[in-house]
Amino acid sequence: MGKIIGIDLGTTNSCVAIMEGGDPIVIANQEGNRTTPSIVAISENGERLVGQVAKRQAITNSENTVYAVKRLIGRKYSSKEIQQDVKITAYKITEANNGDAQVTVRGKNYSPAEISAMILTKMKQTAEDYLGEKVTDAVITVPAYFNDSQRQATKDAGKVAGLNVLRIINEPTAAALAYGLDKKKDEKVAVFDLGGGTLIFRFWNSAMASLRSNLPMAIHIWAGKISTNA
Amino acid sequence: MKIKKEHTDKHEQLGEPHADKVVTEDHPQENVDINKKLEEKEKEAAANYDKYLRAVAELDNYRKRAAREKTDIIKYGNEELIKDILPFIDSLDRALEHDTGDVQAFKEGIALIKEQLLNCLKKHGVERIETAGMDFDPNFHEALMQMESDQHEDNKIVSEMEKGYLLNGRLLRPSRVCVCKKTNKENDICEKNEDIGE
Repeated sequence: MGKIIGIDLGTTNSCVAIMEGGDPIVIANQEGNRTTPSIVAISENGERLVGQVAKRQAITNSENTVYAVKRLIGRKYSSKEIQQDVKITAYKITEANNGDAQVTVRGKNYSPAEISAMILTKMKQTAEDYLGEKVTDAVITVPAYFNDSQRQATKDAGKVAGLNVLRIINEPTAAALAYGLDKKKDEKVAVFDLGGGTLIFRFWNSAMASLRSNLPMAIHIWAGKISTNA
Repeated sequence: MKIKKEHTDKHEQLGEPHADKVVTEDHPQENVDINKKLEEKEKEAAANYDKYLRAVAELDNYRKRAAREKTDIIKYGNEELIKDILPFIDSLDRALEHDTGDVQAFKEGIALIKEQLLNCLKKHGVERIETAGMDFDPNFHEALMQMESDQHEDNKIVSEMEKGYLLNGRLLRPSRVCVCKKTNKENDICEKNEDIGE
């Protein structure tokens, strides 16, 4: 069985890691960076650019550079959040046949899951370059507030990228696991996550709560990007 | 020895007779051979288990040594580069001490030091990215702004705000540039040409 990779598919940046000798190792990408911008662009000649390269050309190709697509995933075009995004994004957000939000780049429609799949493919490639072998299995993190449709769309994105998504884990849960909460007793732990699209504060009492449970103490608001745009 | 005991226990759990007891009167020679083979396999298994334990221990030691070496590389890896850079600090110190009031001579001296520094960086695998007259390429350049210009073609680099560098062929820092955007005038001409089917 090949290695299972863990992907943090973030709003602004994404990151891939593997367990090596019992320790998590964050894998640096081709450019030597441990995080990859979650940005996808289609150049004039139809070339697909992902990550730092896409970010560097964003000014010259803003209409065809898609960023923060995680905010669109699994949402309806008519929803309040998408209508707000339509006003502020440089790329075109349109309505798909099923009412979902999609992006239109150089006249072609892409679902947010397809764009996310391009990012996941890059992360998969990064892991394969490091390991020197094919990677097929992955665990992907999503915000704790993601609903079923958003989780399913993330899973679909993994599938399109050629990954068998073994599990979708809540981001604060992943942070708590990395801290080692599952191995400790009688401890209260708070996870504070200020990301590009999410601000979450989550609280656990390790003696009482299961890490898999969705505790009502999690709150979220649109974070970083919106604050920057405000 | 532990393996031998586990092996024996397994046989007992399964209700199978232990190999030592597999002696029937019908085929005595065959049983002797089986017992001998079993003994050989037990020895082989013990040797393999020993090899496995040694390999695991060796890997663990290698991992610890690699982690230590990595820490050392991070800490002292720049030693050679810094040794090569130190003479430039000496040169700059001398330049600052030697105040003749001749600005031109001072500037020439600084230019010489800069040239030497660039050569030193080149020795360590650092190369400058050329941008003059080049097409904008996001693999090496970062667009900071776009401007309309009649003197440049579309997507050509108009000016460079910050120089970019490669380290052993990998991008160390992209050149930060201003990129030419087709002027509206040209766009209008193109659109008109399209309209008349040219």
